[in-house]
Amino acid sequence: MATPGLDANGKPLLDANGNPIMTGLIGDMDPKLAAYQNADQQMVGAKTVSSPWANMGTNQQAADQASSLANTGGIQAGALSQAESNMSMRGGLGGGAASRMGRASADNAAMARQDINRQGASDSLGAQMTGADMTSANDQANAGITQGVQAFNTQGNIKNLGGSNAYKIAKFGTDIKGFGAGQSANALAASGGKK
Amino acid sequence: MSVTVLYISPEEWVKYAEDSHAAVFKEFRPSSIDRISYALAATDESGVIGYVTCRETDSESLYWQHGGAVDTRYGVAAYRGFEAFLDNAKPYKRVTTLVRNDNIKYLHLLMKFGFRVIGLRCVKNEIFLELTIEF
Repeated sequence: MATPGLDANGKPLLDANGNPIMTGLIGDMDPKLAAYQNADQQMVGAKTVSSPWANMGTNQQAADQASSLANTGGIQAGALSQAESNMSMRGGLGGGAASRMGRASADNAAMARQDINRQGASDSLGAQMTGADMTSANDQANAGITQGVQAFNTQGNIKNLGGSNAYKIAKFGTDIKGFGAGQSANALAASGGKK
Repeated sequence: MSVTVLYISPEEWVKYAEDSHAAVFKEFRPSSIDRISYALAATDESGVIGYVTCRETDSESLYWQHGGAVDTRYGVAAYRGFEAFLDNAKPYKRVTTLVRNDNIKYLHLLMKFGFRVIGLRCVKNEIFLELTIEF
């Protein structure tokens, strides 16, 4: 059987203008379309790599959430104990009042746990979403569009972590400032105190 | 003694970069010239240990730009801080860094953990060794 676009002798079939016809290949009909098809295949087949930071973000968030949940029961128990103590000082804690306070405390603890879980789900989604952004960015990089998107998306990941670390980071900033200020003073002293 | 590693975004790091660099390198370096992906800071119960600034060169490769321990925490704390930074880099496939050739203690530490010299750079009449580790 003859190859499409070739005659029995293997030579291209030509139209009235001398151009090849019926090859069955898109590129022979429209080179621009062929280039598009090639690029499309590269993009579909591109290997996607999620950033290690997406995983770090999820792990960090899970740890924070677990820690918050662990603390909730203790905080509510403390509040209940304090309320009972206050009632005693006001003339005694009756059975009915104790029951109502106990139920209110349990409700508060449940509500707090719900809030933590809801916030945790939201944070976790945030970390995974930026992972998806990173995957998308890798597709673009593989298609040769840009390679500068990696750092940009990393910053997005870090933003999600920022909230839970805010206090510790602020403390680090205060501590390290002490060392930096000391160095400035030393440098000034070494220079004889002159500006 | 447990080491806590903090992840700090570039936007936030601007606030701490100059103090941190001064504390470790004893010199002023304006924060405006930093181009990092993020910074890591190590702390423990006794306070700050040190920091490292990181730049992702691709999704598998990390470059440690500046960092070190404050001088009051040299020794065990600095060692554990470094260990914690390296653990945090393990999701990548490799870490690369440049170290001045006369920083013998840090070169010892890096090579003890598996870093190997892969190159040499001369910057402003100083010689830096390029080291990398593959996980």
